[in-house]
Amino acid sequence: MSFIVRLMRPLNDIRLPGNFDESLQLLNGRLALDRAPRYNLVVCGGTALNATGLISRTTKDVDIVALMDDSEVLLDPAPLPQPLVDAAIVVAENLGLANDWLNNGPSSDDGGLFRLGLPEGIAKRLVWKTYGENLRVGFIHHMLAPTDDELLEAARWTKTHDPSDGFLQGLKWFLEESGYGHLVPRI
Amino acid sequence: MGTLFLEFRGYILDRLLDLLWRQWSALGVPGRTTIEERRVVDPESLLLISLTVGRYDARLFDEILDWLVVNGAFLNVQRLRNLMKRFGFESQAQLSSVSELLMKKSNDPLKWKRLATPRSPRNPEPLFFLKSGKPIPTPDEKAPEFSPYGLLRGPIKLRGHAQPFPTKGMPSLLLRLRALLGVNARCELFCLLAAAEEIHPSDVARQTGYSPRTMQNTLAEMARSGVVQMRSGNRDKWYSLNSGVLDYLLKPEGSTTPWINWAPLFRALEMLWIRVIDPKWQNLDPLTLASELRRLGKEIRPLLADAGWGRQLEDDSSFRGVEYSAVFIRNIEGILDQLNQ
Repeated sequence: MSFIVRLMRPLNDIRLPGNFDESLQLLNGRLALDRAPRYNLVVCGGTALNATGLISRTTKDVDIVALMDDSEVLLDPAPLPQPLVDAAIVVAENLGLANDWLNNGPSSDDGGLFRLGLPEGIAKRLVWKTYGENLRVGFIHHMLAPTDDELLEAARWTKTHDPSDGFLQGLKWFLEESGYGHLVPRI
Repeated sequence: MGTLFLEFRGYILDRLLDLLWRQWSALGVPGRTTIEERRVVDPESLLLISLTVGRYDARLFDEILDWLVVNGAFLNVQRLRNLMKRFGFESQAQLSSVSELLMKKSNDPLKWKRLATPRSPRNPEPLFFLKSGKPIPTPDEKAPEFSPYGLLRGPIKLRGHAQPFPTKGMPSLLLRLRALLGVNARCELFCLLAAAEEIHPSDVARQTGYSPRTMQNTLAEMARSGVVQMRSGNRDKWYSLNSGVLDYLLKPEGSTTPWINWAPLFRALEMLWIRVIDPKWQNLDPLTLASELRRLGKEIRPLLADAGWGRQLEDDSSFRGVEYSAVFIRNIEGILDQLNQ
């Protein structure tokens, strides 16, 4: 389950654990040399958690959940733009990463996050890091102490992705176990 | 731009110019040289790289023009075109300009006319640069042979100091053979036959820039002379020199003729030089620069291998990220040092 908050601090002084800070820096360099457009990537998963400093764990890839144009409109990341794919493959070769280290796995098809619908207002709750003229990355991350309203909004959003009764029961159990049982009647 | 990269660029230029001066001097260009060239010089390949790198040494460039007026009859225009096309040398505009000059100065203007490509309007740029990379200012009066190809320089004043190529010594062997046999593929074939135990037509085609069919037919004809012998193995035919017949000419020191497959080697070095002076490379961060060096290494490794120098460039996959820069620089310096020994 993902919870989304706004981080008030900029990320440009934060280094990603593992190779990904270096990888994204090189990705920017390759895009610039290839005269590619500028890309704004919206990233979720372990990389985002690492970037925002909430956890420190090994991640094997960078999950792109959406692209964003310069007027802050979210765009479907499937398929990924070819210049981005080409540059990412070079980065993989140079740094010994898996070829799919940069992928759109969470939003790659009709059952993915982007086409099912990202949470409302997500675009305004990203924390951006600029890697150069050709690459900015907006990180989505989990929240440690959400307000009731934020948690309710997130819980309702997850239901849109899995309307089954089984999921609902699991969601209620999670809220009760996490000390938010008072919200169960409102989801 | 990093100091290390600037030093590397300067080192490449110095070593390349040393090599070019050395080879041209061995063919009769008056000028500086500290170490004598002992290998057979390939004049077409040498000209093609010189027209690129020589832009950073105006004196060398004009001495070559002077030499071409005296010795150009012994250059193979068809081979120049073949090498240009096959390896993608990037000196076409300079070659066309030189051809325009030789159409006026040589006794065989039609020969050089074949090399002059259609005049193409492109953004004019100075022909010559300082070693620092700054363009040398051009006077108001421009050389009419170069301007149509977008290359700006002052009028050409040939000094007339160039000598006919030497009638002795290994460096001029190919030119001497052409003086004896005519400007044709047999001259390269004799050099290659003298440089190896035996040769195969397809290998020879790859090394010389002629077509495989031309090589096969010519070697088959030469075998009927008794000077060259043919051996059949499976479906292949291998050719070798009958020992003793031409040794005085081809192997005066008894050992095999010191022949290097210069065309791919020079093309690799031309690519290296063009890349290190590319404005896009001048402000790269170390990680992206290493990535570019890696890409360049991948491009030039097959050419170096064709020339027999493939092992000099280490496999980049063993080195991660910026680690490769130092490896590439060390490898290239090693190649240039060996070439200048």
